[in-house]
Amino acid sequence: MTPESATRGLYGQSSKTIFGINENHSDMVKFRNGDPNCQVVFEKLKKICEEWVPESNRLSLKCDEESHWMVPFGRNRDFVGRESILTSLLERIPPSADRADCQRTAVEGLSGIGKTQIALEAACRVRDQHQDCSVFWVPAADATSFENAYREIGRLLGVEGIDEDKVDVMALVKVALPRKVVGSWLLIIDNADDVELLFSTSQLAEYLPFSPNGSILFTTRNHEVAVRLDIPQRNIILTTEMDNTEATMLLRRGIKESQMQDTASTTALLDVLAYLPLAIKQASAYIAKTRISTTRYLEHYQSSDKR
Amino acid sequence: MWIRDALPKAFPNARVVLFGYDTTLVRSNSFQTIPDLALSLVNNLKASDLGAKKPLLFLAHSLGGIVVKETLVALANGDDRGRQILQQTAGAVFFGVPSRGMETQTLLTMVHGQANEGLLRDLATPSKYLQSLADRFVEVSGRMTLFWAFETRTSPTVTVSTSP
Repeated sequence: MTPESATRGLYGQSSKTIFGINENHSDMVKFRNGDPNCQVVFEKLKKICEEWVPESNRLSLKCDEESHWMVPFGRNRDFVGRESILTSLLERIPPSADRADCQRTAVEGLSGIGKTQIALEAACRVRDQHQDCSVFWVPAADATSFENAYREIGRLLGVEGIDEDKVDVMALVKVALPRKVVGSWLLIIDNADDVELLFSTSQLAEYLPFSPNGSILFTTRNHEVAVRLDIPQRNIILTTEMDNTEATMLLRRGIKESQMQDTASTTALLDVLAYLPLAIKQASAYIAKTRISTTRYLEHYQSSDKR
Repeated sequence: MWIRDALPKAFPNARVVLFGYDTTLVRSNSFQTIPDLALSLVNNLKASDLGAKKPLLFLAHSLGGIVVKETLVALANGDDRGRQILQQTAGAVFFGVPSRGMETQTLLTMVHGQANEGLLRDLATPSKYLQSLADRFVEVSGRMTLFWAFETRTSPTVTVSTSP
């Protein structure tokens, strides 16, 4: 039996479920006393028992046929540009983009570069195109917000016992998401920046589910995180500062044309704001509120900078 | 030593049940097809006291794996008792299971005209039967934990010996 034939019983199985036994076809199920192969098989049996959830602890059927939208923000109506990044993301993150895998994708970039807003816009577009796809948003800045989001997912899915004391909420949700009744899903892990939190202290990465019907999108400013999450290079989408057109469009949102008449100072302002969307957004909000011009704001900005 | 004999020591709380079937090829009168074998396993399972609180695991070698897959599919499409058994099934370890078929040409020559020729035809690569079984199996096994072992040594192939 070739490994190919002997193992391809299931679509989307990961290499973790396949193992070799150094014997021929008929001897592979016969063991000597203390045979290491035998231990390997016993390990697998233990693993199967560990992962088994008795039927009484499983999902109720209430989530059948329903898709969920668990995103703590509304669509950002002021979102502009970023089309090439969004195109790349939409080729990768819909669960149907890779039916054989639970593909992982990351939006990587500096703080304030707009990763979260890009992920949000991408989630909205996935939702527009795939209405049967659930979207779950999990902030990963700290263990508590991560766990709270998981609990919320568990409630939406009707996982029994999710609100009980002493249950491993994250483990319950990890096994619940791949269930068939849940359907397809996109899980967004926002601000996955902290290596310690993900891989050592809280080991949050251990609780990421796997399902061929699922897909996980991370936002991170830490390349090491993307690498340690085994995200293939082609699925790491680098986000840089906005270009001049995008930045101008973003600044213009909510500001009257009369406030931006001096294009030279508008450009100078964008320069000092380093084309960082978060900074532009704050400047734009301030300008809109105080009804001053970009020229005046720039003066303010520079004088306060000198102080 | 077979796995079955090693199991009770490693898993003292487990009940080990053996399901066997006639695999003799040459001069066999057996005309059991895989679905027949599966049906027989289904009935065996239904008749067993599985203790509803315990997980059920399958270990299957070679053709046995195909029988197990067919059995789980049959349980899913059967009555309540069948579905209950399926719900209790935690997973399986498959050893050298020809999920995509095997080189059966040599074996086919041997059993030509015998009752079990159909069984072997089902297994020949490329096998429509196995492909369809794989699709149906994915449908019912999504929740289970499955492991697949492959052998890393080549096996002696069959030749028909004409000498006595």
